[in-house]
Amino acid sequence: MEELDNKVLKRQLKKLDISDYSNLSETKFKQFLQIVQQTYDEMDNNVYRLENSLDVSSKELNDLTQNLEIRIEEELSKNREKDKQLLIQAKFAAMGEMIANIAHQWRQPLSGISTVASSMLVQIELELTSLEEAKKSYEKILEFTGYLTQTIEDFRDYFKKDKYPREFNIVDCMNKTINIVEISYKNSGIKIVNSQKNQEYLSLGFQNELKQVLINILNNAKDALIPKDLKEKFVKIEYKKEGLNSIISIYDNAGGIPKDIIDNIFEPYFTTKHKSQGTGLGLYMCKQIIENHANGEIIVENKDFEVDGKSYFGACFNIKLKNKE
Amino acid sequence: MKKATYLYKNGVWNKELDGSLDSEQTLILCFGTSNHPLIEEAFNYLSSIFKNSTIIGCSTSGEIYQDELFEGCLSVAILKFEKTRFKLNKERFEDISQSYEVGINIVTKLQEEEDLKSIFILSDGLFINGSKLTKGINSCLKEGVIVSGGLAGDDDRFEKTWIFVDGQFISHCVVSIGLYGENINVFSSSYGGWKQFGINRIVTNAIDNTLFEIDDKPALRIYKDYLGENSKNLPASGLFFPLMVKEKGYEKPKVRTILSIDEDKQSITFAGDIPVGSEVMLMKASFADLVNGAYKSGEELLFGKNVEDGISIAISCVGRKLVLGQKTEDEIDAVYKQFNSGVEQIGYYSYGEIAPFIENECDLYNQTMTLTLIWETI
Repeated sequence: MEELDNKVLKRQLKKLDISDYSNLSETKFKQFLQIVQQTYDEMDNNVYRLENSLDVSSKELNDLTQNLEIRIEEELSKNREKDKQLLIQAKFAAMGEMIANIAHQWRQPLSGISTVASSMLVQIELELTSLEEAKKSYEKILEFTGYLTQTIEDFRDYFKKDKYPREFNIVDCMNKTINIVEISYKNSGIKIVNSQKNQEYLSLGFQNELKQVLINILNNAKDALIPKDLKEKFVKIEYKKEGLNSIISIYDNAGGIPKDIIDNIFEPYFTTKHKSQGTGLGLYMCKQIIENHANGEIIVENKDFEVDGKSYFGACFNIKLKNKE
Repeated sequence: MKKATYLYKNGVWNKELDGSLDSEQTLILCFGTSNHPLIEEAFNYLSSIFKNSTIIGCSTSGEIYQDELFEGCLSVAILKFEKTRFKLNKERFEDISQSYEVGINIVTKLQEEEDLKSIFILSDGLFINGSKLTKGINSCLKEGVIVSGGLAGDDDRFEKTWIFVDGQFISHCVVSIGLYGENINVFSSSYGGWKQFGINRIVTNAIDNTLFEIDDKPALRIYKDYLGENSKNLPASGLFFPLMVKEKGYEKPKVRTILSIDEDKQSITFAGDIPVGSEVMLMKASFADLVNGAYKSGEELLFGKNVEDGISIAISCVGRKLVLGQKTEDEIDAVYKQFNSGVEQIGYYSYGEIAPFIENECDLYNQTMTLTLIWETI
């Protein structure tokens, strides 16, 4: 009998005890056909099963991919909502800080008005008042109320949302911000070194948003310096041009940000302050504003800086903004 | 150890039974068709020749004899030990919920005697939870004892299985043999060759070995989608797609195979537990994958050994037979050809295999070629 290569066929012949084709009975042949047919059926079924499972599996994978897209969109939407909430929280936090600053700014003129008014009352009761003195007192009160009005105007500007990017002088923006925090800095014994305050660094963008960033960094520097037992406490402002950009550097001599946290300080809800003081959103929002709204960059490093020829060490925030072309 | 293997087919033994092997130290393993009236005569004859021997066996989904597959037959191995002691244990149970307890009883009773080296188990194939059985075994098993064996089969019908012990065919029973002493060598290996495919899924609703939902979808519906026209042959056709189960806390995945379905509950009952939260994937295999898998099982079994004389008990899953069809003997041959001429092989196609899983723990396997090699060193 001719040698066959196919193992299955060889086995089928063996099972049916077929070794000689010439003497193959009809019954044996029918049995053989039956067993061969079974093999064909098995093969057909295998092909069907594999094709069907491939189809079902592909459909499931497609569905999964589509579901993933939907889920990604849902997650993105959740994140956007979260960002919105963060923004609102940050706004409230900023308003809180503003109110604290307004309180600082108003304390002195309010106390002045109170002193002038009390003194006038005493003079009227003692019948010592003269028209000239009364006029002076009223003028003094008007001066104080003018100062109060100016403060309110400054803060109103701060919260006014710019609709379009406008040309502005970065240095002016910093000067206005310093005006806002100046008194609380003075009360804390911190000197602001701002030697380039008359220079011009023009940029195109949203000035009030930059003010929010600057006030945040200045307040953080103040909070870092207050508990330090230092002879002199400084915050130094510097400006420089670098290619098409202007860089604002804000130094403090509070000793720098610890290495283990310096990489995390721009993350949301990261705070080193006590819960009642810090929301952990300030620097996160600063980064959002500079990188997403102003197309700029904000980084922090610990480095040395000089004031009046003396060297100091602390944190330095660098804000890179595009120059106006 | 003296040994002999026999095949009973169409009412005839393939050779004369060697009555000289009968002794109290003789163990006879029999694997036969689930339609036991076909082979009752053979058992009667065996019992009459081997009056002093211990005869155990179980029903199959196909009998393995040397390198061949048979159906409607009885495959027999006779092992006459010279120095090795063995002990028979029979555990009857009423309900699947007793599976864990059965496992404990087996080990407790067989460990009563000193120097237990291995336990070989044959279990009812339908009314046992194999995972719970092996967990019960593991709960009290002493270090270094090899546990292997399998669940009985019933072709691809899943209707009735039997265990043969004490001269009777019974269900709801687990029979086990403890092998004792320094002279006995037992090694076991298990390998599947199946590959996972499709998406990764999570079990969201299951109780023990009954799976209700995967990814919050009815498990039965998923299987029906994949089987298409073949779903009318469930539960048997479910064997084409075993389930890879990665339980929480276990790195090594397990393979589970279908035992039955419930149309009303849209659930599937598997041979082992499918805990909620497990990662699962469907599996498939080509002919070559399965044959290579069987070869690897043999390779693992024989690694670093040169066994001249012994008995190999091959227990392979009915699911493999269903996929391989008329190529089933390729996988039996892939194992058999690795043995020296003095090693003989019997075995069967089962509803579950038992083999070591990790050190000092056995487990229920599905869809594997599980091998147990026994020889005595004098």
